Amino acid sequence: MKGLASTLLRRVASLLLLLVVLTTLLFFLLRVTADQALVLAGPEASAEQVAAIRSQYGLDRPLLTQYVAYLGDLVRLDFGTSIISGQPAIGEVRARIWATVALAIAGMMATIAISIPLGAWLGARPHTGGRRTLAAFVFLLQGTPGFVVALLLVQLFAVQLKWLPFMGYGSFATWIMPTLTLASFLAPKLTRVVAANVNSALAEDHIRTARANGAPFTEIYWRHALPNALLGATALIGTQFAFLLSGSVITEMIFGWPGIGTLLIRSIQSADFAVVQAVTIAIAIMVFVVNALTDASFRVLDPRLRRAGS
Amino acid sequence: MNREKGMTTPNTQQVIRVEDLVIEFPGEDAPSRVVDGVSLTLDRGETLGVVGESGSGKTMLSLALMALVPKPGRVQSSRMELLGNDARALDESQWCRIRGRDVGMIFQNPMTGFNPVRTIGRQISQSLQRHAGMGFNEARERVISALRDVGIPSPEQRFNAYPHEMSGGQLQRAMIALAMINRPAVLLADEPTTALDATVQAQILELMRARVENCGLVLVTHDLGVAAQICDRIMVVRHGRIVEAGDCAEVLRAPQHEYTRALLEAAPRFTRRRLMQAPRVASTPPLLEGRNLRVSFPVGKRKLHAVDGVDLDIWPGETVALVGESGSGKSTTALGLMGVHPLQGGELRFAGDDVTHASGERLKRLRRDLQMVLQNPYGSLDPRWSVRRILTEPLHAHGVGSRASREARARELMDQVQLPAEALDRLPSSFSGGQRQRISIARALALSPRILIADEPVSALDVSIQAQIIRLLMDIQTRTGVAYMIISHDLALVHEIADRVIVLYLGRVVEQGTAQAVISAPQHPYTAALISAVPVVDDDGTRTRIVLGGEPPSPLKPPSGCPFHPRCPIARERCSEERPPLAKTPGGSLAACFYPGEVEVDLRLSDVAEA
Amino acid sequence: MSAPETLAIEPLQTHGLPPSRWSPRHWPTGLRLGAALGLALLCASALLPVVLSVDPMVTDLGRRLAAPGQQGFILGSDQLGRDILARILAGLSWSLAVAGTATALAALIGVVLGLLAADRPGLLRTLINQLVDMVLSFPGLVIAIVVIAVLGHGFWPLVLTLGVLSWPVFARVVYAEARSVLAQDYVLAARLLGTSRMRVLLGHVLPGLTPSLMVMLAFHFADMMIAESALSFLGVGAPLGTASLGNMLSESRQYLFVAPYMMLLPAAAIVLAVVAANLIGDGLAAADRRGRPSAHDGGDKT
Repeated sequence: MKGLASTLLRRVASLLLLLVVLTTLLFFLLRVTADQALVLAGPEASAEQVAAIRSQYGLDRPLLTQYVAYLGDLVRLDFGTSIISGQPAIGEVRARIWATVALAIAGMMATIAISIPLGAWLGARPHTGGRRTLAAFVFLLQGTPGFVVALLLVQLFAVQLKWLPFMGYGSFATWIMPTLTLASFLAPKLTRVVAANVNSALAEDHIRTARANGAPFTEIYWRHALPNALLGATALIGTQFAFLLSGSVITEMIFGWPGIGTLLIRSIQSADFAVVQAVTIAIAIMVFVVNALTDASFRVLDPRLRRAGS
Repeated sequence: MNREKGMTTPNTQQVIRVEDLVIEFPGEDAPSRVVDGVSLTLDRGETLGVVGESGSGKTMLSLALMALVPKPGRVQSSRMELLGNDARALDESQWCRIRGRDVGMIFQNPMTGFNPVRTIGRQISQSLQRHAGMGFNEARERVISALRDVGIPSPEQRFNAYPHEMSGGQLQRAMIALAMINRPAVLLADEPTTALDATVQAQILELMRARVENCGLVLVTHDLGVAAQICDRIMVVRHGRIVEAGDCAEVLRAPQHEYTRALLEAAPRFTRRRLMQAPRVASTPPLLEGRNLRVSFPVGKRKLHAVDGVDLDIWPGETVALVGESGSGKSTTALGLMGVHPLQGGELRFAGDDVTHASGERLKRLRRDLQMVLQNPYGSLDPRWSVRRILTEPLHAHGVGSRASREARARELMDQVQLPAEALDRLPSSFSGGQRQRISIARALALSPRILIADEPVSALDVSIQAQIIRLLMDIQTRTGVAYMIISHDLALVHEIADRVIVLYLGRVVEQGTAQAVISAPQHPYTAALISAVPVVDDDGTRTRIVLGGEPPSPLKPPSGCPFHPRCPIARERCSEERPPLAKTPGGSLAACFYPGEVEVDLRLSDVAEA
Repeated sequence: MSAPETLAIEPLQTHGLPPSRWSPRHWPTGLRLGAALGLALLCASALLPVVLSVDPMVTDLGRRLAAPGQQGFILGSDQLGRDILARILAGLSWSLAVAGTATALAALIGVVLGLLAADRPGLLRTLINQLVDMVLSFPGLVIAIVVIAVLGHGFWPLVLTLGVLSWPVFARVVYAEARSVLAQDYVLAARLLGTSRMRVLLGHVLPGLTPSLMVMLAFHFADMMIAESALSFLGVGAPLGTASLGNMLSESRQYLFVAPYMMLLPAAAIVLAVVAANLIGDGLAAADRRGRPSAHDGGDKT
């Protein structure tokens, strides 16, 4: 257990380091290149009004002083106030984060539901007719950017067939296309990895031992090759999920999904820096946590790692 | 249980009968035949040795007996009977009922032979559940008692162990337990001890000999010595064909085919010839002098003392052998001398200069005089480099010579190791293992070193090739006067070529002396056990052997007192309390034992005529 | 020990003459297909604009939203009457240039840092690996959006963002592969001979990495194509109005009903380019697996 505690401690330390670097980067990038006072005051404001806003928000202080104050605010979990809504930025994020997480979970579940059976099937005997064709299709899909898939889905199901709504967030129908889009990002890769893993697992020495002891193919496949192959795919599932959390920006935008992705795009367009910072930090933390969980589950699932620490 | 669905077990004595077995693999032009017209029979209770070098087709032959020849191989025969039934007519599902029940198989590499993410116990009980229709709990009891039978300590706990938690020797024991769990009528063993240490090999062979009473055993091996110990009949194969077959003792005593004779010639044995020669220890001061050398590695918070106070001298022109099991610190000592692992203690002098902590230019200069040949000829040559580039690499590194003189040197070196100079443009992949080792030797000689360290220079090679490489090394020594430090686990080889022997155990010297003294009259029981573990061909099964129990302890937790006492056949109370110093013995050699010379060895000395 | 006649030195094996496994004759089918497709796209984007001599930026409001083949447009025209074929070709060369430069930048940083980390245990390795982990846990697309929103649109900001955010992919693989090459006996042998560190890195390690580096370059190029078009689609990539595939797709969203070809054609161009790069990567990997002198080269596998 001592190993676990120190691993956890090291994780937390590197998360803190990541956050410090990230926030510093954001702070300077955002402050140095755009004058927030101008944005806040609006295009018609006079020079005096801008100056007033500047001193009201403390923007006339030296940059370093501002930075220290900013870090101080962050430690108190104060991410600042949105200049658009006038609400605390963290509240804006909190209101929308679950839509993003829920969509990511849906996308991941769809990916797993498609990829694992498909990959397992393709990997068992990769060089037979039907599987080859399907593998080629998977390859083609891997070359198709997610937003292109989204546009094609819209074109097919919303424009041509009129089965599904263009966009929105609510009924079951609104979930179909965003979920499929996310799955199309990831499913091809996961499918190919599972297939390759199954195939190489079948060539291992211990498979020959099992065969030499009378295990029929089905048993070898289900008891040895597939579990070992999926174990190897666990890591990918984790990083993919982390990617979904951050990479769903485009999907959310196309389907008008009220998640933090659309919030981010909108905030960038309106120079709403407080919200941009809050969203970025939220995503970084989520990605980090998912990665850490993946690592931990890997340790639990693989006996070689499980006892190595103790 | 479902025995009637498989094949009936007739009362015949003959369990295998194969005629004209042919195995082909599709090749680029014509299919290549790896097994070409082999016939064999096996009786119950009989042990048949299939002996051959790499490329002989012996592994495929054994796989064919279980219908496990991998695709796209094709197997044909005019007759193949297993337990009196026609095996050629069987389909895959019938084979599944036979494999593991009527025929068991032990593979070469136990480390990869088990599924790494399932427990040993489950993998073995699976076979019982499948073939004997047992439930898991019933199977568990049987597996635990089987693990106990093959000598695995505390089998109840080991049942739940994963493969990575067990040593190679233990895994091979578990593999034997798995292959025997359904009491098959035929057991196939493909190089079952090749991946193991000599001392562990002796244990496993002992175990197999004891366990196979009532079944037929086919032992596939490259080692005539191993075959000699446990086989009733042997069959020598080469290029897929049988060159000689017959009663084991008969074949070894009077081989008919010249290939068999050549193999026999190259096989390990202790000959009287060497004992006649006078040792070459010079009266000059040693060229390399190591005192109390220490190398350790951090493992977590602790330190692993891989080399723990070794004294070692090399005189000009002599051959010193460093012997011990894997993990004894042989290779680490060599790499410590070479400056790859920094020495953490002691003193090292070369030609009188202190080179203990040499680095940078001084280390580089030392390396012109001190060179090393690595064990594995397949890994030690960059596969992308031509032989010319490989041979001139040391010359480039030390800025020696002009372009033309380097080319001349490369040709000279090729000549010295008896390879054609036209091959300079080729890549390592066009050379066989023995040829690659010649290139390695040539590279190490490029700078004309005064000492050459060779780490197991022949152990990765076929026996017949081993003899060639050893002869080459001896020729070079005669011609150039280079001194050798040969690292080896093979005491018969050491006996053949070394002037002096240093025996290491857990990073310490336990015995040291002239090869003659150490091998003919070992003072330390560990040395005696190492000598005894060499499977000599002159063993007809009557040789008295000392089989060590267990495996070397972890150097992280060396036992108290004499580090060897837990495995020692003559250990007494004192041994676990006090560490014996390295002291002079009556025979002249040094040994770290309170009771030197108590364990005697049976060398089976043979008189082989001078070739 | 003596060896009789029958055991004379074996003849040299005929295979393993200096390698020809990278010559096109030995390419797997996928690699040939990918190379042909990639070459065709490259030539088309470079040569066709000269032949066609149509300016992708010229608007003609009188001939807007023409379907392919109509009103003199081979592949139709967009909402401003611009020639879609010309815009696709211009967009392709933009995307290829951005993706190519960003890949080269990422590879350069990744190879240098990966090699350094592999060769120097201790503080430098720890630092580099920490940096790699950190940049990898940066939410990439988000940072890219922010950085480009701040630095402005254009070729170099885009290339810098993509390159600087994605080099850890190279660094990780180079680090792992270099460690495994450094653990090879032939590297130990070189060190024992007195070969300097630099010579070992450049003579043994880097050539050993080349096959997997080529595979990585191809796949990374595909990823960069996708990332570039995604950023442009979001409006934070190519400058607005520039002919870029992402921009074209973004604009097409307003005309889903009237002009679906505005979406389908640039989409097809992206897919073709990415598939070509993936085919090349896959093919190189297959060629490498096939040609690699494998471990069982010398083992007893018969």
